[in-house]
Amino acid sequence: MNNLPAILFLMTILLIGSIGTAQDSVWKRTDSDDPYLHRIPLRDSRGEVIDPSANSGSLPHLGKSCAPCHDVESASGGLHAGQGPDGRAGEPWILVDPRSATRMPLHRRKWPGLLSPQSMDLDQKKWSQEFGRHETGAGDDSDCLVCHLASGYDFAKRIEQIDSGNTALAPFVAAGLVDTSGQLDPRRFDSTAQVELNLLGDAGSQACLRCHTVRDLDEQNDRRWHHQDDVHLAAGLSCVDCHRSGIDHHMVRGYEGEVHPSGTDVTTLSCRGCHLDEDGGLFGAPLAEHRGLPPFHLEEISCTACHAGPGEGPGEGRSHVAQWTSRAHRLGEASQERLDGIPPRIIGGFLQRDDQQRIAPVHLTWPDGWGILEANGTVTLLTPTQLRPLLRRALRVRSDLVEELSDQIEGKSAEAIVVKALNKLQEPLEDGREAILITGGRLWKVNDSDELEVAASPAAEAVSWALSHPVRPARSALGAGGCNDCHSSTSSWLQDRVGPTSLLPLPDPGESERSSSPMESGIIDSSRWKIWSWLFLGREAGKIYFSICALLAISGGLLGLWKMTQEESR
Amino acid sequence: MIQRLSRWTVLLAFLCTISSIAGVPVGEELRGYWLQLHLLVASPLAALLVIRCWWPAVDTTILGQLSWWLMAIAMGLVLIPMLGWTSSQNSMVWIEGHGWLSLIAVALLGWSMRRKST
Repeated sequence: MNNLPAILFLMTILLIGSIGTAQDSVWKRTDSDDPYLHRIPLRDSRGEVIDPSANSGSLPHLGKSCAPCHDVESASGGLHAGQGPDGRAGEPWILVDPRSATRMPLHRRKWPGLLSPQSMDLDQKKWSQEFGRHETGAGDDSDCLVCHLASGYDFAKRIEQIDSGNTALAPFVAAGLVDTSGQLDPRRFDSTAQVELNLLGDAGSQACLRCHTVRDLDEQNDRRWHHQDDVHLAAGLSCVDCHRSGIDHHMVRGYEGEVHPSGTDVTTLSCRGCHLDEDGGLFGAPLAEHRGLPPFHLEEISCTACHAGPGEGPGEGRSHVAQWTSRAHRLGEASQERLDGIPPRIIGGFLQRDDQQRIAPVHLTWPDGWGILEANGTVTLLTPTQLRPLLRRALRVRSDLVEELSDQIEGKSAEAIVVKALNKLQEPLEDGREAILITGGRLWKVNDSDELEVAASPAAEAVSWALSHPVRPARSALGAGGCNDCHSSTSSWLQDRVGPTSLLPLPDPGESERSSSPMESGIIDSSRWKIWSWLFLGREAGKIYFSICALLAISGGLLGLWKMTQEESR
Repeated sequence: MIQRLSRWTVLLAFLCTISSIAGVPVGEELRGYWLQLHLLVASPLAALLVIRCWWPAVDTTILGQLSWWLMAIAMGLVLIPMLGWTSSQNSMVWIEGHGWLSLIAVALLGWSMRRKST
């Protein structure tokens, strides 16, 4: 009887263990590398199988349809759905409202310079309507098909459905299972009321590119003839070969120093871990040698600085280009109105120091919008809903503030118009609070003489996030053409100025105020850099000179030593 | 003339040593302004080293000659990464080899000069 507590303890452990095992067995697995052919019934929100011939009017529910075999609760979370640690800053969502000329970068994650959805009055429903088109959703709103349906997913239809507020049915309409009125398509069901779906864990890179396409707007090179895809994709890899995850969907982001929420060591899934670490080399990845490159470059520069981003090949150096992204420019939606200049303006390829103090390329975008400068110096942005009636009354704007005002001012300064709008916004404000406009990387407010006054403000500064794709192979990387790809007076990557553009023509604060180059932003010591550029003019000659000197000195010294030993022995 | 050049060689070798102190900690690579200075001093030193090795001063001892020869070998070692004959990651082995051999050479040179003066 003395052993009773120990026996009870053991029984408890065994019971807990058996529950765990039982839970594991809930989820069906084939454990084969051969993809499972999904021939499944659709279920409604109560989990009941829908019979298309019964015309019950029941609408299918994705979570309930997948739940009999998959841990939907885990799968609809993870890093990909916004859970887990914030980690390194990623691409923000950009709230674009033409009527108030608002273009505000925001995100649910607390990344530097970004607004929260709450500050822009976006609850879950408004968020889904605004951004759901390019978001897989979380929890009950998750769209598994957008990533896992390998064929037959009409992304443009998904966008249509979400824009019209039909979020729940969007995946089914996009997959062609339901028409836009919610009627099931009986032709898709077999005699046992099941549908066949080509669902795969890895549905190929095209599934990811629906929401993660980045397109360079290169005016000089026609993309049809000059595009070079990511070397990993060209080699046959898929996005998820590096950006791996389990059912928890904690998608590996692949940057160096990443701490994975599962505790798994993901070092080998970063560039350096795979190509520079002896333990890496997934898929037989080549071990990067970087012959002739002084080793400190690998400490000072991120891999992506030379191997990713805009640029066609060796000798072209690094350049910045305007870019479209799926999320910011609604890529995937057929449109005749997507012109090069459409907002928001995103620049790719600018160099900054990253969180590990390495020089790395980033995307940049600048906020535009109206707000209030509080007495304590902080800025509160106004939401489009707050702005629309005020701006309509002040400026008679109906649908597109920039377009309509540009027509009115015909290239002249918009100062008077902006002053008028700011005065209107100022009316309801108490003393000490000032109406402001944020555009062109500056903050504008009206001074006592009723003129526009410009000031710098953190709220107007560029927002940046890492640029990692497309990955360029060694032959197309910066530096493949030799040291002079970077170290020369003609190499412009450190001196090209990049800056925001103003919504409307406002008094010019001057080139140096509007834009800056990586050199000016202090990523390197500019005077030291200039000396290197000068020294590199003679680098090749220097190599020959030192080689000859070494050869002569070694042979001369050897000869001298031999002679001396001969003399000594005599 | 040879004697005067010999003195310049010693001075430049000393300056080269001084300018490499920033790279002395193991695993730390000489870089930036110190590397620029090191290269600036090393350029004339390389030529003087050739002269010193081919036309040893009259009073040179075997120890002295050995130290100049080691310095020449050290110069050869640093050329291996410079000419791209090894990977960037392995470069440090050669660069450190260059550093340690040069330091040994300078130490031997000092020792030989001390022996000579006594």
